[in-house]
Amino acid sequence: MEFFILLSAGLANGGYYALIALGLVLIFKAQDMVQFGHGEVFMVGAFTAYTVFAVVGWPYLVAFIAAVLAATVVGMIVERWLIRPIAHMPHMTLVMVTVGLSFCLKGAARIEWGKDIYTFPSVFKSGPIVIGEVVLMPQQLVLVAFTLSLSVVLYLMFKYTALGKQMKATSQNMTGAQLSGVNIGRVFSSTWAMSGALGGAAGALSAPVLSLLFPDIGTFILLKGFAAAVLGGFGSIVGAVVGGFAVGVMEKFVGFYISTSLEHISAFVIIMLVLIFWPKGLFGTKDVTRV
Amino acid sequence: MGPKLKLRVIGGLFSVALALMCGSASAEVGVTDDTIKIGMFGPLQGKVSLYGYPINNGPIAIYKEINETGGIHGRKIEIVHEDGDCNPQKTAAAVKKLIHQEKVFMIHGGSCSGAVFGGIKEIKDTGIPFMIMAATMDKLATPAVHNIFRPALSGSADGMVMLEFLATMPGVKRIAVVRHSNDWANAKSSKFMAQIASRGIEVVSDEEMERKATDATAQVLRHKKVKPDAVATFLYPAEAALYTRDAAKYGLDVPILGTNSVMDLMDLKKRAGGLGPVKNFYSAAFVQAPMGDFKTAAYRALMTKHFPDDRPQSLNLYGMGGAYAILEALTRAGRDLTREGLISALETLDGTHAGPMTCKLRFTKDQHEGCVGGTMWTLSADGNSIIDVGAAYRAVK
Repeated sequence: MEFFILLSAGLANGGYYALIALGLVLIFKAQDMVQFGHGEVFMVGAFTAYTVFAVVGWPYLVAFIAAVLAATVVGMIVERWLIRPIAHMPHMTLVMVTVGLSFCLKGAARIEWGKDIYTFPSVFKSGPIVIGEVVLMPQQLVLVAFTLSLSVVLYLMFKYTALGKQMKATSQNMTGAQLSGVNIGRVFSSTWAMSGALGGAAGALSAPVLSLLFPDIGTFILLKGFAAAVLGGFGSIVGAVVGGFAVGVMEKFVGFYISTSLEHISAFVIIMLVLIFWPKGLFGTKDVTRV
Repeated sequence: MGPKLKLRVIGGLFSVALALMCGSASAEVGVTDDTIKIGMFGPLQGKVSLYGYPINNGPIAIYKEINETGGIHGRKIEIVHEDGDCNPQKTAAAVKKLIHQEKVFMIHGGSCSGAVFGGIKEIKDTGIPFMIMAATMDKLATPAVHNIFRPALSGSADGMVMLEFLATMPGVKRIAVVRHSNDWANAKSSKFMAQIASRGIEVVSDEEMERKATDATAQVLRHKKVKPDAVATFLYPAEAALYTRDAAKYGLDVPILGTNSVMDLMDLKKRAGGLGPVKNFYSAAFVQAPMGDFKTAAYRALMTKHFPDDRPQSLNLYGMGGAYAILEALTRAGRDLTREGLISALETLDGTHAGPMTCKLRFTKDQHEGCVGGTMWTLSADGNSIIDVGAAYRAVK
């Protein structure tokens, strides 16, 4: 019976790992770079939701919308003022800017939120759903359902919409895309806005599941999301979702069946093993360049 | 005696008197005619800063209060802060700066054991009086070091309070343990683990939980599988809340014990999502009551008065005992204050009022742990108040 309890707990955690991975993958698909400040976008979403729901006392739905909007705005501002001016610079420069962004956002959050670990109140008053010995919290079900729905929407967007194709083209050859008439400024802006919205949604949805919030929470979550993206194959929407759920479940299985000491390092072991033996991940594809 | 010789003698005596007067006023480092400079350090910035100012501000409120009444022997307490960031290297640098650059008279600080250990060599080498704020690592003050004093429970004493309580709980023969893998948890659990078998209790599961973990499913399920009579947790409050929440969620219904770091049971109840998960929780404690209880109302008022923009919290109480010990020793050391005089005065404290702490403080030449006993708390049946159960188990609800 423990198997199903661990599976359900792992899937619940995997839901927000997947959302984080999706945010990372979006940026990666459009700009071929890793956004190391994405964990802090998650944190912005979580604390915005906390403020609106727990401090101001407005309904959770309003808190969720506010979190998504706040994180979207952060994403757009970062793209417009930090990334776009240096978009042509080497990737390492862009990545280091996102690392700096991560520290700045964390530092700013500590000014207001650094003195405590905050508890997000329960959103649903109905209590857990018990099936046999498996205990499911309503918020976890919402999180998993949202993640799956969103991944379908994103998959379809990349496959069938002009914006999705423009993102892909921009990622492969920015100059070529620009010469073909793609408004790369709009593409970047949309990508960062969407990535921000995903981070904000992840923060708002997972805050009641995590229940404990602190300014450094994004760093922990980012690493898990990163592991999910690596496992799924960086650049793959489906891979990010599958990777997220897989990392969540694997953590729980390792913690129970092997040792609790290994539970939290399992994500890092996954990153190492995948990069060494299977660098393209579960759903990654080989880069093919037409010459 | 000729007039010339008389003049020389008077002149000489005047010089000696002047030198003595100057000497008595400011011979000791960090002491002036009207101030005594005390250095404080702790994690003031960064990810663990919630253990910085909230803890340091408790004693500061007491020092500010005494300053308002004229200080000690006409001298006011002046506080100098340095950030140690819960990091041994940074703490060593902070201690050096306080001693050599800020030239403080004494130090009252340190919340993170590992970090304090980083600065301890400088403190020992210079002989500066050091009152540990809230760090619990045993070897900081045991065996006694001439210039180092600890007013709060050491880590092992905290663990032993839990052990003695467990040993008196009816029917408890097999327990499960969950702890962090850091020096803090080691300090609290090592003696507990070493001595538990001698009380006829077997540890049937010993699990690890990372700091900032997001759930405790694996730990709880492993515990549940071995059917323990009770669980001992050596976890910080946030993680203890997660453990109790998940224990309730997965039906692990046994008494759960926590260290004094979790003694704010009202806060634990809030973090765990209500009374259900914590109704069978017992925490070690070394203060009379958490912040918010009527027993600590005076200290809450003190915090509100001197830090009106901050939320009074139980962490404010942790270092207050040390502040009362310092003030009492400064009073006993007299106007001619020296570092050695203060150390000698501290070693005379016996039954000294320690503010919100349960202990009366007692230091001797060979015993620099001022408080060696504690009590256990639990929540009342309705969850609205805290019951002081005592050092041994008794049914209270």
